[in-house]
Amino acid sequence: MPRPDEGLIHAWLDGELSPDEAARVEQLVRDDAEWSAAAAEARGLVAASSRILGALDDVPGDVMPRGSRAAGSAARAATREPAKPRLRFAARPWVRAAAGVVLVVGTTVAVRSVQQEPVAKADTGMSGGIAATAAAAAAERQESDADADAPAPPTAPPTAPSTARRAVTPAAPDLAGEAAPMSVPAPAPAPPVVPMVARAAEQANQEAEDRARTLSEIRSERTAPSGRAMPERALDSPHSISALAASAMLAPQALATRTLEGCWQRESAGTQDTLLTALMIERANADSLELRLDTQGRVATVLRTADTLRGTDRQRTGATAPFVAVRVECPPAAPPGGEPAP
Amino acid sequence: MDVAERLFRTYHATLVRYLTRRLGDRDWAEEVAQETFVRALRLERIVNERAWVFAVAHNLVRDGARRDARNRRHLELLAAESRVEQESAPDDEADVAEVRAKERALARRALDALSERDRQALLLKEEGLDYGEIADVLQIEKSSVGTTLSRARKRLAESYEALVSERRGGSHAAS
Repeated sequence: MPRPDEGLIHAWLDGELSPDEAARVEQLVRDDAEWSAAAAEARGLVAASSRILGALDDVPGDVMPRGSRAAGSAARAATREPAKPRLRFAARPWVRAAAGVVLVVGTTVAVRSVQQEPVAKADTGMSGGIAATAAAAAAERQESDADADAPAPPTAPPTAPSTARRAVTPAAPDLAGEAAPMSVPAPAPAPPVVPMVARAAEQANQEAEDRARTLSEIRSERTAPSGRAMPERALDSPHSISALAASAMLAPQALATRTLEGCWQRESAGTQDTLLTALMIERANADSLELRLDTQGRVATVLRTADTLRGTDRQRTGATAPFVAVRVECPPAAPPGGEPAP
Repeated sequence: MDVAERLFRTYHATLVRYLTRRLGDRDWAEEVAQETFVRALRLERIVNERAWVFAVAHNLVRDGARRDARNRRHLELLAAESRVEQESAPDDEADVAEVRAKERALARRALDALSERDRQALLLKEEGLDYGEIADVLQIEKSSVGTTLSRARKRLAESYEALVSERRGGSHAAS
């Protein structure tokens, strides 16, 4: 049995060995106590070194003196004011004031409740407790909201997942634990971003819902009972196209179902915008119409008039070409059960 | 998206992190990263982009820092330690900041205790470069990267642990 090769073991943990070599090392680690111990140590070292290096990420700028201004920079860096710690919950006067107000109001309500309803006397203590709890909760909510509205504190850049870390994370029970005390401290409490994210998501969902409703209303308005062309005002106003595009962007899974109804006839080639994002909308005649969006998600190729579309036509062959199309009256629909219209 | 923009988007964050870890100064790291991408603009074709980007950054740092690297590291340590010492009567969060600052200073000293090659290999590996790319950047044999990394990791951990013990011994003696 060969003696453990640390370089080989590290290469194995880093996923750098060929399948054959990896199988051989794995076998050795499984069967031989010496190899097993060496692998355990290597896992610990991989984890420890990652954690030690991770401590270097929270580095301010302008620490290092540069060239001829080395001494001055060093002096500035050395005398720099330490970062002001973030105020804690209990240290914020307005939060304490808010909690006090809520506590007083809650207590007053509870006392009045007791005075008005003697039956509830037994619950007085609990009511006070609930009021106090509510006060604390309200204050906490306010604190949470305030934190969510405040700009996020600067944080160290995220560490990219490396193969070493991926290799060691699930299987480092041996020395990784031993390495832990010597490296980084417990992480600071994360800023309360969750309420902010939830609010943003709620708002985005509401906007998407509003846009979808607008689109639905527009569609219902433009459905002519005769099946002929839609009225003048309809999807083909710039605003409506924007609403459609924005709605489709927020619900990308619905892209394929968005239909720009009506009949359009290609008129001439137009200019092609150099924009980044494309949105596909199916046309009634089964060709597709591509509305190009700019980086902010705005529709860049919009109707110039009520009856003209400018865009990029993507044909079934995959070829695309800029185009201008005008809306025309659709041919009359075939009567039910009758002969198709010529 | 042109090549330069794609390169920037793909590698900027990891390159700055690598350089920050290496240099201990985010501004300097940003400068070197920018210079790296400027050089990328001059080339028509890059075979192994990631290795190329890190190799250029590696060379820029090496060339620029060679003459006074030791002084800079020493001054940086002095600055970091001075900041830690200036933090007085901390509350809980300041305690955490202080501990982190100490950790950072210790990590920097431990990293500086490694040889240049070991240090570079370790930092490049942490940014996800594979052994072939590390070998390209450092111009060493791919077969020796595993040994280099195992030595570097061991020395880093040992050095760090020794510094922690030293600090603990100092604080116990002081109390």
